[in-house]
Amino acid sequence: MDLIKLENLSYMYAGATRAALNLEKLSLQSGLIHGLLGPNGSGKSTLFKVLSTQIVNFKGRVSVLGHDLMSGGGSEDVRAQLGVTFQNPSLDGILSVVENLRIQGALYGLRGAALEKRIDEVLEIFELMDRRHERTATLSGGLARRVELAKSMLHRPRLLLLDEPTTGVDPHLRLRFWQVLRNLVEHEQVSLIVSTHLMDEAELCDSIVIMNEGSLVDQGTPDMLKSRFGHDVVEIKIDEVSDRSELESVGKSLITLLPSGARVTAKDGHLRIEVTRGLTIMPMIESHFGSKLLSLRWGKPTLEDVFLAKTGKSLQS
Amino acid sequence: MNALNSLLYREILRFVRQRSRWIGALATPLLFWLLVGTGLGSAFQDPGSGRVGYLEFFFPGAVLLSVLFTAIFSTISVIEDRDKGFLQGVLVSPQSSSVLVWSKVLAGAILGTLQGVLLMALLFVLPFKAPLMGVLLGVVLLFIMSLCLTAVAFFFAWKSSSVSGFHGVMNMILMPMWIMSGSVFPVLGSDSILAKLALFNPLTWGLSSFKMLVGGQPIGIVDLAMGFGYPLIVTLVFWTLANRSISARRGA
Repeated sequence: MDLIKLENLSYMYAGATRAALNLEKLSLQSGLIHGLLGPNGSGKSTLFKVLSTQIVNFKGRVSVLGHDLMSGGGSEDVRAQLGVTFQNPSLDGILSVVENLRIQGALYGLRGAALEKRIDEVLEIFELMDRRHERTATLSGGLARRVELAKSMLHRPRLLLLDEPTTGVDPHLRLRFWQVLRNLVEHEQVSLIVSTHLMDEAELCDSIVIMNEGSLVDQGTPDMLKSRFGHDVVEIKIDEVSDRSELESVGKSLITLLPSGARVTAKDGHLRIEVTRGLTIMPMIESHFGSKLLSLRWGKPTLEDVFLAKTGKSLQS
Repeated sequence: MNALNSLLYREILRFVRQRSRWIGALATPLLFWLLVGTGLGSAFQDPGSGRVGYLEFFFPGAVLLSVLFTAIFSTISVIEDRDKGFLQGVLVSPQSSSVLVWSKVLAGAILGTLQGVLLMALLFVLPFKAPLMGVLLGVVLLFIMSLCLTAVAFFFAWKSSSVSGFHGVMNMILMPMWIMSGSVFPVLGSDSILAKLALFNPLTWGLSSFKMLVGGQPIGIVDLAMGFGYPLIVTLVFWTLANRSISARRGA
């Protein structure tokens, strides 16, 4: 069964002149971590709101876990099987960790000893046992995010939706956070859809949906997307050449020396060359620029490169 | 606990833990009552029996003010809570919208009544007439007026896109409802437009019944059926409006 199936989904915010979302077709498999990747305004948050039943007056067909979310209603059945972590905190800061979890349990029909047992389980999973009586407003960003996750996992959802889940989490704790997510997929039989604008997080997903301006740009595993890109990326920095027009004129003279199909662009004071078998052009570049060459970097394409090539935009913009 | 009870529990826990809310809803009306009551005392003449001084006349209005403040404080949080806070989680849960509306309205009414009752305890210290049976019935009526004000405030809070928008509603709708209810000055018993308008205000009917019950102030029209019934009807109307508006947004 498909985790998600969309057909001709569109949505326009009240008063807007352009649809925030316009997806012809998309289907996602269960049992995986799916990443929704795109810059701000790409439509990923709107898609997230549709899938988490926050927006109901969309146009088109959306099925989540085999349930049809009809426009204007029909989302009751699916809500019980969804866990949602929002971009903004949804914890009550005046209440303790365990008080927040008890209310969440009650909203999903859990009570009594079964609820207390499950609370202990999720506190154990997210290593929060010693924080159970602390008010959530006093927790650090990373801990609070873990409580959010524990809260959304409490009722054993089949699909967990996470909107920018590492917002406010220290970079060095992000990897640990993702290990926890990976464990959930392996041990709690849950599928994940995670929206993010961070490349290194997208690399950790099993499958990626790249979005831009409300539409689907590409879809596949990170490796698949990068190998489809086909080129290597070589970046060079040249002494005393840093403004855009100078870089572009150097780029123009350089392109004649490169194999056909290569692309040269100016980016952040660098020249960026997309070319097949990038290592082979490096000796030529070294001899061409000589001592003026400040740095020379070769790399396989990243998802950022894929995104840039597909949309002409950087993810961080 | 079921969902409604647990949401109610949350509201009450929040109130108990936020001491500033106690001060806002209890001390402010008390201070208001003392300042306005003493200041206007000499200029006031009781249109009823002629024997009630202004401090005594204004006392039920001050109790109602504490109920109004509680209704405002307990619903204003909805605006941010809904888009960026705790209510996000409630809105995507399998609970029906009515659970959310009930929890908010009941919590506001319980807390408002509780504070009104704390102020009413002064009735037994002050040299005002306060028949025990009347005071007990008055508490029930206070709960009903509290339901009414919280339902109205909740509906407008839900409809407001920002806290500052809700301040407008507070100043243009909720405060005038209180002032025009006969709390600060007598509104009924004349032919003025104000008196006619006041008849549409559920608080006018509620407060005049409340005054008669707790203080024996028979001013204007006193009709217990209207005093208890009209605020209840308005509660149901605004409860339904709020419920519909939430359901339209989330689909159930």
